[in-house]
Amino acid sequence: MSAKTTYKWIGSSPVRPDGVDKVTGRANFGADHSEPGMIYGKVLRSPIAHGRIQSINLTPALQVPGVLAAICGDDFPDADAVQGMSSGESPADMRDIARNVMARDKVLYHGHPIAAVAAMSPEIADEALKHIQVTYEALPPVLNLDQAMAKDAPLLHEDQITRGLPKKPTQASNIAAVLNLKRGDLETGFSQADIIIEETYTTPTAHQGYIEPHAVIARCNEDGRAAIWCCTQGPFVVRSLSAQVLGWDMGRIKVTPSEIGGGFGGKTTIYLEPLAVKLAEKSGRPVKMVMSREDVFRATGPTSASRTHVKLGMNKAGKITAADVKLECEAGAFKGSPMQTACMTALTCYDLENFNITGYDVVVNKPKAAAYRAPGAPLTAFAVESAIDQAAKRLGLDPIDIRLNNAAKEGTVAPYGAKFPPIGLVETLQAAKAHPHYCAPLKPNQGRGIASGFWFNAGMQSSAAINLNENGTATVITASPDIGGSRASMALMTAETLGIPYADVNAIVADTEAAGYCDVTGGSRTTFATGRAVIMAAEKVIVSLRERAAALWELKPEQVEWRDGQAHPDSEASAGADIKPLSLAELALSAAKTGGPISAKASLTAQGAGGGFGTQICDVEVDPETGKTEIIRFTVIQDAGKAIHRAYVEGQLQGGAVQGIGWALNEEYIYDEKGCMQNASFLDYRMPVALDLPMIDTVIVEVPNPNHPFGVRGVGETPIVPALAAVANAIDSAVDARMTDLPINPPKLLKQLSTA
Amino acid sequence: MSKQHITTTLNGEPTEFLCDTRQTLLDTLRNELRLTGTKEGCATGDCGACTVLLDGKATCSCLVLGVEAEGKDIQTIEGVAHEGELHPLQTAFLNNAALQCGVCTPGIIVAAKALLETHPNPTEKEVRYWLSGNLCRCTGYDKIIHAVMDAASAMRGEQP
Amino acid sequence: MARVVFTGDLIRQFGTSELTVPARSIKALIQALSQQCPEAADTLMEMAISIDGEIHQQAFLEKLSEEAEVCFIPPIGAG
Repeated sequence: MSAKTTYKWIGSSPVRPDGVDKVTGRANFGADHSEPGMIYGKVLRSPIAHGRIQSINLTPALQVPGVLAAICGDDFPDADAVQGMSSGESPADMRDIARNVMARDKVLYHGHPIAAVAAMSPEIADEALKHIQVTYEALPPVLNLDQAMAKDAPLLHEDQITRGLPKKPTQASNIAAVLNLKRGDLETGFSQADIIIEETYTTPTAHQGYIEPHAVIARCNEDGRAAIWCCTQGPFVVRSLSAQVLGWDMGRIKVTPSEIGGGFGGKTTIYLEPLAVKLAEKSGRPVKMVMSREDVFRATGPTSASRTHVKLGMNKAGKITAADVKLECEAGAFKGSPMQTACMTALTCYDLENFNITGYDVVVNKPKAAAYRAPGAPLTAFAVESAIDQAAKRLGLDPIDIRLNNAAKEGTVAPYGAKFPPIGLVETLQAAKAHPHYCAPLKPNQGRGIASGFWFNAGMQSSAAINLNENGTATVITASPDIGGSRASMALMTAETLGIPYADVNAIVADTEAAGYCDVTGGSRTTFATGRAVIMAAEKVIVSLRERAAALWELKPEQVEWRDGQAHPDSEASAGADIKPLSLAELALSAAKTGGPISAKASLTAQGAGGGFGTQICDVEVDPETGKTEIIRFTVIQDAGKAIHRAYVEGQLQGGAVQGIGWALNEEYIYDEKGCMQNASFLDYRMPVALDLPMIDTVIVEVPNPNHPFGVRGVGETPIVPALAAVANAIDSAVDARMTDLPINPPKLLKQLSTA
Repeated sequence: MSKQHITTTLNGEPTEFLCDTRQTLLDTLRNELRLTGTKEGCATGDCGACTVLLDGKATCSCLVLGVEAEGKDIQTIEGVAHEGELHPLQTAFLNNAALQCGVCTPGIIVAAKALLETHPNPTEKEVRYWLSGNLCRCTGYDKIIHAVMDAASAMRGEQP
Repeated sequence: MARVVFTGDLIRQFGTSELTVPARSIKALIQALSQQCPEAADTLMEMAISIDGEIHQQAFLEKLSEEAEVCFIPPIGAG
């Protein structure tokens, strides 16, 4: 397989199999399902940001007519006793998850679940919540990095000892972990620099912003088995995490993934699911729970606010001689900000001799951070790509040339120690330089910004099954929820491998009983890893087809080739004999007589995911009277390895970039001094709308990943990474205002312009 | 609390239903009438996922009470395809890959339908302005705008 | 001999950021390292591992070449 291979189906953009259901409203999302006898669950959430729970009295709520069950932390096994089973989470994380879905001794953020009820109607459930009596000992909240790290700061977790320090501390801290990556010698490096840029950059708490709130229906049968229907990026992860929180054997739980209305990482964990199961168990009825938009903002993982201090040394020729990066990340109420991946990606676009990267994972009284599209990478990319831009400006050098001068290539050792296999950063930079956007003329108050970025892309575990139907069509079964058109990609890869038309392949998403184990749809892994499982299964199907043809022709299977969807005797076996090729449809039709139904399965832990690099060009126009920034042109250039479905790859590039634009210009959590989010609605948490944007141009570069049969690299996450700095750099180019604190909203920019 | 009996026209058909006076039209459509194509994204009129046509006008059904449907004409996503044939907007959305997760799609298609019924030849800016009450988090709107312009052209008879 | 590079807590636990270990598989390598430092056993199993530049999650049975370079890096989350 090479980049020049011509494919019949790969690289086209056919209509997706679930398309008609989605445009007619027939497709069932999390809240669209019903069960007979269903009742409704609601959650009581903490009104304070930090406190000890002294008592909870559920009895008055249970006395409200129509209430069938009420639960609190006591209804779950002790959080400290939750044993971790590997599903990408360590045992310690499970203890945090158990506490996050239902508070135990402490409430750690405004909105933290304390109790839940199930009742005959949502209105009765809401009424019942008002009758639950809770007493708290309020504690001073810790609401930002400086408060959290101050000497004598109130501690969120009295047993939390900082991990990763050279000497293990004896005192507890709000700093959960420290990471350090270094190489070479900073002093030497800075001494070689002709200029030094030193700046601190800050990003706010921001939400993934999926339009569909979390929703679940749980049913508990009389035999102790439970069924969960929910919107999730990973039904197997829901099964595993819910079982652990409930203290159940996971074999008792079946999870059916609904269609999912966006996730971006925010639906790779659990919130309502164990609560719904517990309420269903206690009431004996199926329980439906749907989050309000307000609850989604207050209590589901946003991504971390951050502060990054960058000191960058560069010589006159544009070579980075040294880089010192210090990152502090708000983890929310429990450890686990994306600090580690933020550190690992901070300088990864560049081949550096001397660097030091230190990261701090800091807990604060805000919701527990959850993954958000390339978790951590946008935070440090904003800082480093801004600093590089500042250096380019100071030296009068072209921003793309500077990046080309320092770019990581195949063989470069990444800051985390691994040597790069073939990668496409240089190709994206060259494509940016050659793109007509880069030299298009600009008017007054308009500016142009460049930024690059990287994301690892994951492999992880996937399974696939392929069944041939008697009519020669194929059904492909995986448990990878389809967020962006992955069913179409699975069908394309199957069609290409088997040599049958795309229209003859039906790709479906199945539940945890019908499908083999699969990790989340996320991590830019689905087309890569589940794709590999699908291709492996298709190749096994071809082995069977060749065996069947061989048997019919009284040849050995080694004498049969598979080409263009047909079995052919090889040149030796066909010499002198008149053997007509047998199509997949013919072999499927005669399967009953040649050995039975033709099917195959495959599972793997996919290693060798190719890292994804991207470069973006952003043009803005700033209104100097109002401080408003308009995006007037945006081009996303990214290495996809091989685009299986071109239009869906373009869609990922466009969608990711726009999330980054929103993060750069408007999105932020606004808290009052008590730790209560003030803008928990789509009105005031301002995401981009159609009028905010131009068309988003895309360029798909293809430097194949040698570890995938078609060369696939994940594409979903990288596009958000460069966007924050691309916007900030464009604004600086437009009005000579270096904005280091996001979001760059009109009041902030106006203030900067007026003080200049 | 006793329910009210409401008579209305829904997707062209006379329809009767019972609803609580506190229920929104959105809740009524989804929970009483089992028409779950219209989605709830926020319940405060900020995301447009619940868009229906009320007497022909694009409206957030979460901001209307179920009882207000009395005597009115309601169109939902379920009524957009006609007798087994997709509407040009639906076809254009599929052909232009204008959906990723698909949850905002019903609201946007209904809103766009109202646009094209009153403005058959909109500019890109007009389409963006009209759809600014419909949030999409997946697509960045590019392919959605292309799909609406594509559908408009088809509806003007400009495509073979 | 495998050249092993550590990040994070492992540097403190092993007292160094680099080691050479005679091991021809990840399983053997983790066994040898866990024997040397039992405190690190759990962490070693949690981390992502880069083998000659290729990042592996859940690596265990992978074979190591004569002069393999193995880096233990924090696990990479999915978004």
